[in-house]
Amino acid sequence: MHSNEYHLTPNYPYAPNLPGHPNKQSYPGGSMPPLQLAHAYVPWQHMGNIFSPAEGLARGTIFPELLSPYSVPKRGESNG
Amino acid sequence: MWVYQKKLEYPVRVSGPNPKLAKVIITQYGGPDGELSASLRYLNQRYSMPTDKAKGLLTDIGTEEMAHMEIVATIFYKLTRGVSPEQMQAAGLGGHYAQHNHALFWSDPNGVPWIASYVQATGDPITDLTEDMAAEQKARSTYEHLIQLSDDPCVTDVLRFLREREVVHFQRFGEALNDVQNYLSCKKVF
Repeated sequence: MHSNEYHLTPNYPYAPNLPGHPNKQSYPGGSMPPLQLAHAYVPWQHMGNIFSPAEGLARGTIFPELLSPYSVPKRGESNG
Repeated sequence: MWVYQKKLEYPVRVSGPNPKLAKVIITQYGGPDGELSASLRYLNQRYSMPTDKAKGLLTDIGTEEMAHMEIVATIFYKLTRGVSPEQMQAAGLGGHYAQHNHALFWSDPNGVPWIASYVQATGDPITDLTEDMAAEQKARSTYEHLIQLSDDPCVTDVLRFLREREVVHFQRFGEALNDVQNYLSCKKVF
């Protein structure tokens, strides 16, 4: 019943840079169970490219895909 | 048990005394969505988590939030070091000076002291992890407000580091929620 249609991370490449695990499943034990209404989920992150330790410290994360720098809104713009 | 390192997770430099900026930054020390709330919330909720992984995650992130409390304390201390009582008063820190001199205290910018009702522990891991994800977003928003209020680029740099950590923590708590939801649904079936 674990249809790929309900896979939590359908477009996320499988652990692209994890040596020895080119086709590692996106969920530890296989595919994720079907998504259910009234539940919250976050897409699984996979080990991939990482920043150097110095760059990771400067940016606040070693994961490029988690980096989301804040830009101060211009005057008059909504803060969202 | 903790192992202590005599350095900050991220170095803190300030351009000079700035009691006005210190007054607003104190919210991340003792305000509702500050680092004290975060660290105590996670380090307390971990006991009732159903998996070792979730317990470990709450311990890790709760520990890091304590390191952030130390960073925020350092910013406040450096921004008010050597500032006269008159300058403290002019920056809106007269009440703080009257009660605490140049010491640190867990309050928000309006002097409201930290209270335990800022945090919750329901014993329901889904509820608690959802609160933790909300807490990370509230801390991120607060750091964004502080970045907008900051007129010291050195302080802004530290605030940006702390903000990015909240983003990373949100991802980790979300993964823990996926995991715990799956664990609980498997438990129901077997």
